[in-house]
Amino acid sequence: KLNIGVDIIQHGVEGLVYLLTESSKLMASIPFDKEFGISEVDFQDSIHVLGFSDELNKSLLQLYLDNRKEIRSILGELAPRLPSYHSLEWRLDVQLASRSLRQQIKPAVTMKLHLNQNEDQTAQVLQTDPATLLHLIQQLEQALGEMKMNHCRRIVRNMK
Amino acid sequence: QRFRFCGDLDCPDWVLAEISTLAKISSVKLKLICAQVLRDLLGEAIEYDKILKLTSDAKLESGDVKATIAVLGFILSSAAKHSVDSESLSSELQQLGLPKEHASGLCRSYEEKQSPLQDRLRACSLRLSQLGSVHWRVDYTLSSSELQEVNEPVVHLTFNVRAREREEMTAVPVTLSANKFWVLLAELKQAQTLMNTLL
Repeated sequence: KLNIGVDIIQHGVEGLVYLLTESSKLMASIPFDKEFGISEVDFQDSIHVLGFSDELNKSLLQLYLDNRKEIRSILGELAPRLPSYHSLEWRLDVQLASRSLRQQIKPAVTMKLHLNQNEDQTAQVLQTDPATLLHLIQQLEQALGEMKMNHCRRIVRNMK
Repeated sequence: QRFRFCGDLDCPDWVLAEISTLAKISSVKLKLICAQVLRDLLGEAIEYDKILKLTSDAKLESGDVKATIAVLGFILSSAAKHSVDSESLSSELQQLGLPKEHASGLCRSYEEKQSPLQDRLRACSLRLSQLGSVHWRVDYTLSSSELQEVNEPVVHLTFNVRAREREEMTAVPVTLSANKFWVLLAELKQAQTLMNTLL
């Protein structure tokens, strides 16, 4: 419809994408909006260098302002991720006898840890005796307890 | 406050919040929605359009419909998990603020399906692998490259095992001499006797 070659359009699209993502990505200098990236003034200054018409500059600015929040949220999700918790299945068994020894009482907890990593689902099977499980719980509770310590509290307060 | 249907723990906040949504639906329609949710918990297909029709009178938003299904699913499966009887469940739900007719309708649906639900939950419990079937064949070895006259029976066993994550069966072939097979059979019979003492 525009009567231009495919290459030019492709480069045009790529250029626009780069402009929008870089602007949304960067936390620019003062004055800047913590949530939304580069301020309007900075954006206008940056594209002014490209020598487009005023009308084009205005529409580019509008495009940026309308979409930057969404672009930032999408960019946020692109960061590499470690496997994260999805769910945990467990069962409690008691071993009563084996080929080598009868009359036993050996409890064991078997767990299947379901993990998510970038849309892949993996599962890890683990088994432990109750004593180790209690130790595990204790360690995890200690880790949670760290959040209540003064050091963590101070940092969280400053982040907000 | 502790509730038996929550496993003697506090009721989760989100469940508490959705009780008022449940109260908006008429008790008759609620019982029908329970029947649908029970179908889903039992592994049959849920008929979402029927639920939408039943909730249309109460003018619930789509988010509320999903919340209703979620909270009913939680109540029914959690009650089955902790083997709560229908009367206790009814009284606990009323303590949470669910009107009496709604609670009794819900609990009647629960009571009808409590056994199948518990069977289903038992079947879904964590299992590492499952034996599908065993095939066997007895051969008689006449001769081999090592010895001209062997003349011994040999047993071929194939265990078809299903590992839980992948739903396909893997075949595990095993070949045993007659003596080894006797030992295996004797040990398995001992294990079977032990299992029978527990049943």
